[in-house]
Amino acid sequence: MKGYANRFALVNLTDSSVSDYPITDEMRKKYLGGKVLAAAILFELLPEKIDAFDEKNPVIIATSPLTGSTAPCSSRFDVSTVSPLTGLITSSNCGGSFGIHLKRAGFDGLIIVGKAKKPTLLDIRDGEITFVDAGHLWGKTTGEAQQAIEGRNIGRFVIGPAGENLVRYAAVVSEERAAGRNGVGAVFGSKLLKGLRAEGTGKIEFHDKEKFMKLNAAWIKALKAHPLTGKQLPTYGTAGLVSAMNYRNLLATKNYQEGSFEGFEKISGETLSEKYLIKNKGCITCPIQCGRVVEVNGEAVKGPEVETLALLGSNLLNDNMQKILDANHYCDEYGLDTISFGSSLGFAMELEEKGLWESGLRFGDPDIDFHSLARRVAYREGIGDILAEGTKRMAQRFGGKDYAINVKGLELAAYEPRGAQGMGLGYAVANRGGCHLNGGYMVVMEGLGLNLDGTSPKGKAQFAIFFQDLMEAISAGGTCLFTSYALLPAALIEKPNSGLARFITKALPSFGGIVGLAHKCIGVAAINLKSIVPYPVMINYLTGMKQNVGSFIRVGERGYNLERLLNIRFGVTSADDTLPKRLLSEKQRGSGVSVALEEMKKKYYSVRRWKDGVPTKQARRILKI
Amino acid sequence: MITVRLYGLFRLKCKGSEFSLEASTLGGAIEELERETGADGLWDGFCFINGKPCSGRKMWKTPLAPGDVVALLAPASGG
Repeated sequence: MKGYANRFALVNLTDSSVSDYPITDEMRKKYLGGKVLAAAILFELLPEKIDAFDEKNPVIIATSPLTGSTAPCSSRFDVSTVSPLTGLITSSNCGGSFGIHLKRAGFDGLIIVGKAKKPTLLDIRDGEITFVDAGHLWGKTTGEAQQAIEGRNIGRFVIGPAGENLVRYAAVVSEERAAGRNGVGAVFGSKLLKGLRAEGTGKIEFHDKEKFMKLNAAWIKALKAHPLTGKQLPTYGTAGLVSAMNYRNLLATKNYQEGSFEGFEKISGETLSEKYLIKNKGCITCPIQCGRVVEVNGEAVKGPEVETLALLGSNLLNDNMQKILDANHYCDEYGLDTISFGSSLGFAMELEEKGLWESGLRFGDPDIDFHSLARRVAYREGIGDILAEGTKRMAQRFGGKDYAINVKGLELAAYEPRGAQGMGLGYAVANRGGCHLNGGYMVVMEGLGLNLDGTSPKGKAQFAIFFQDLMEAISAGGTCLFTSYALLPAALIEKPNSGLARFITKALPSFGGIVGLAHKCIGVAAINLKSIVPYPVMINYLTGMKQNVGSFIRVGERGYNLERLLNIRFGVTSADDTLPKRLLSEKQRGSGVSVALEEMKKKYYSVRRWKDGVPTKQARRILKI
Repeated sequence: MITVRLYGLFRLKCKGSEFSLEASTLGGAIEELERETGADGLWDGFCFINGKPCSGRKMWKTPLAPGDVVALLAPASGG
């Protein structure tokens, strides 16, 4: 099929063998690619629960049809496997250039199984995969390792010491971008897989290149004209959210005890841009350029995202921006997820405060040495060995489960959900644990894009489902989720005080029932609105498929349900769709509410056609899974 | 005097982050700020008075007292 490399390899590290894994055109139409296709493959490969560090645990690296097609923000690729943090299925999306180079090298994806006998680098060149001794790379940081992998115009994807030492939230890094969440780097490390190198001369074939390029140009223009993707994100990056989150009680503060932080101005996107920013930077093919470049030790390096600013800033009562910049850089170098790292530190600080674990870590400590802490975690030295396990396992050891801020083992992102009920629901039900994106990123509707009342649960379940499925589909298609912001009407975002915007944001939650009904019937929405929802049309022009808005969103829904079914196979029940007790029963000081989870969850299951959290036969029949 | 703190793209529009003004209502403060800075579109911001959100049809008539701090956040703060 056009748009694809039409080859998926099964790579066995144990016996250094490579074979083709069959992916049919029917599968491509049904799952597109990326995490949804990976979920379908894992559904076949994993009939029963296995441990993340079991050598049979497959790591699937999957590109998508739009990856490398020149579509906006289309450098994305996905890593799916069993997570060492949650013990469940996970996927981690990355914006580095590796996916593009993998496709040029002749592969849509790889399924990596087994365990190498010694540190290994997979070298992928124009259809050939070789197993290279990576002894000289083992022990190197992600930056050092990438530098040591020779070649021009190639893709690199490596772990750092954290992955080698099986830190449960170790990342895999391509250039400066990370597949950061849920410990996929540790699974690499458990297989003695240091990384991959991809190089190729393959070119993507287009079904209708002229139409593709025409719509591509219009899409880029629309992204540049939109207030979120054309102005806010390029100017302030995701860091620009800090101030808005603080005023709306959404900023994770003091291990989620609060939603706002007195020192927020010093760690805000405004301060970052005014005092520390060297320049913007974005992934290849990205017109948004939300990335920041800042200085650490005289070197220009990647700046922090909002999640890092919150988890290593407000969440620890740290208002020292330079320390956050340093921490962000060293986490990247050692290969650590900044969210889980920051949350583990915050939890340790609260345990210290309550006398449950004498780690020596204290909230607001002006002398906190993030470099030393990141190193100790990455090498599992001293308290680092405990912090490397994440909050769930720390709570099992020391207590404090009620304020160990994770869902299913994955630490929550920066958005305090008591001020954004829909986000709270999303965290609770997300397949990969406390993930804002897998949760539907409802906070964008609840104050950070549109202005829905974040403290009310009304209508949130239906909207969360819609956005979860839409984002799954976008991810499967191969573009960055930030492109979805341009789907929000600019007029509502730019003029929130207008009569129309006030009316719509007030009325919107009442339309939850209609959204729920539309979700159930989305499969019959055989229409295309290319200027509003360009994804399916772009995929059609590229591949020759006949996707439409309905079938496209169904791909996302299919993926969500497949991951859910896999998680059920791994033992997940509705009892796991929950939040830490702090967020459910302690009223937040700022908003005066806790998350009304049960009310939203009931509606969520019903609209998803799940019974007690299990997709019904009817759901499976409709989704053909 | 009241203090107006600006966030997001409003800082670029007004070429500053904090202004001290004489105003007795929220609307008066916006008017004065637009006059002083030459910026426009500040009526589209999200407003917080002493940290509390201020919205609704009559928001611009909200009285201000000396010492009040108005936070004005540019719309489109998402990302």
